[in-house]
Amino acid sequence: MGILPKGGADQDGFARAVAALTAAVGGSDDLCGPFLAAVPVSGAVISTLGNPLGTQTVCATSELAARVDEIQIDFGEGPCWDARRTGRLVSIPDLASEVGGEWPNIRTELRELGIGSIHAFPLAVGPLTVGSVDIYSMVASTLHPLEVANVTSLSAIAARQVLRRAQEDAESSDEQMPGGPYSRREVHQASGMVAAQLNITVDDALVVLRGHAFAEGTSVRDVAEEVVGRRLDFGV
Amino acid sequence: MTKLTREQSLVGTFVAMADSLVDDYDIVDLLQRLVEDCILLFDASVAGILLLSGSGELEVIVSTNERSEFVGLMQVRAGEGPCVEAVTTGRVVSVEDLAAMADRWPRFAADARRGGFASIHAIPMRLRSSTIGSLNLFRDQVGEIDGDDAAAAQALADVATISILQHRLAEESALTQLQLQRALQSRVVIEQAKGFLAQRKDIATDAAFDLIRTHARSTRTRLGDIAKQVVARELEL
Repeated sequence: MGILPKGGADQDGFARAVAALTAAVGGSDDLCGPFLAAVPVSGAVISTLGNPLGTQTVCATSELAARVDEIQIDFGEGPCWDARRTGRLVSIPDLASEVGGEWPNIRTELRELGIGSIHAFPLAVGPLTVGSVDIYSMVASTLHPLEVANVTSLSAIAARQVLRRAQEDAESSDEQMPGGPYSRREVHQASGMVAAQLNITVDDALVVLRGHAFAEGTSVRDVAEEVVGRRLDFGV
Repeated sequence: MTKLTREQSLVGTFVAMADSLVDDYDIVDLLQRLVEDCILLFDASVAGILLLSGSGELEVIVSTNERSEFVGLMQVRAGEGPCVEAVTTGRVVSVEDLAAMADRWPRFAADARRGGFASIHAIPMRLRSSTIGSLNLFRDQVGEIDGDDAAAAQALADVATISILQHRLAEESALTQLQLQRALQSRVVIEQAKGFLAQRKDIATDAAFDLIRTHARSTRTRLGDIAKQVVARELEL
């Protein structure tokens, strides 16, 4: 990791990030990139988790960043879920050194991806936590308290943008889920298909999809794509 | 009331209000108790609270005297009077006698005389730059309200303001969360139903959506409700 600037945080970078996030009012404006301007990390990914906005990646600075989020979504465990649940920062400054503990599956997966450290900030507006902002590095890293404060502020701005988009979405008359690079629409469709194929509930169907994804070492979305594309049928 | 008893009563009122900040409570009940405590604790014969509604109008939320004349006295009668002025200026408006009142608010003064009031102490309910209403103490003697009473009443008004704002914030937040959750759940179940029907009928998901939508329209039911029934196997399309 590089040498920290005097004062412990890049305040110019932070200011640029604030400006960029505040200006990101369009529905498809990137909310992730600005975090890289504020802190010297390798990647950033934002997701909404659980109620009330649903579980889905919002943006990611790279394919690796998207993967870091997707594995946590698929496994249903990880620092992003803890940050979401507790409303507090969850910091793993050195993934390699920590053994045992929580999220064993995620730890293994993250190490296999080469991730050295990860910090999950709650995505929250006041008392309402709707998801998480994960920033990670390929090497071990600690965040300076000033950096923590800065990223916390940035997360709050990002959260407002996410919430506003969700409110606009909810008020629109669209009845179908939008597509997009991180849409999990096909996961829900596949749950319905597998429920019909196996004569089970959609909740159980999702478990089947997840089990198959883990067994095959792919993502739940990939399995869903196979199902919706009629290349995979659990009923036969 | 002896000074010691009054202290105890005052503390009791503050404790009750502070409790309301942590527990579930009915906001109107709380404010009613507050004005009733005010006339017991302070040198006032009648008390009432005005609050700004969502549409920006002033309303009498609670008062110790239900008589319509009194209620009318406090209200926005051509926007006049100390109770209204405390809200619009965000400052305490204290009037010692009817003569002073008559100068500033002739119509209000006439109503006050008819009601038997000789002086008024109107306290804005304010948090920083936001004034949401006023706590109004009506007295049947001429003269300034006791300094200790004024200070204590101000403190009660402040706590009441925080209670109201916190209550409103919690309500808005809960409503927003509920709306978002419903919208999300509706969309999820519609996608699930599309997949379910697509599999059952061996059709494309788009065609499945059309089936659901057509049925929803012809039965005047919400799409999300139809989708829920399809997925629960309660409805065959």
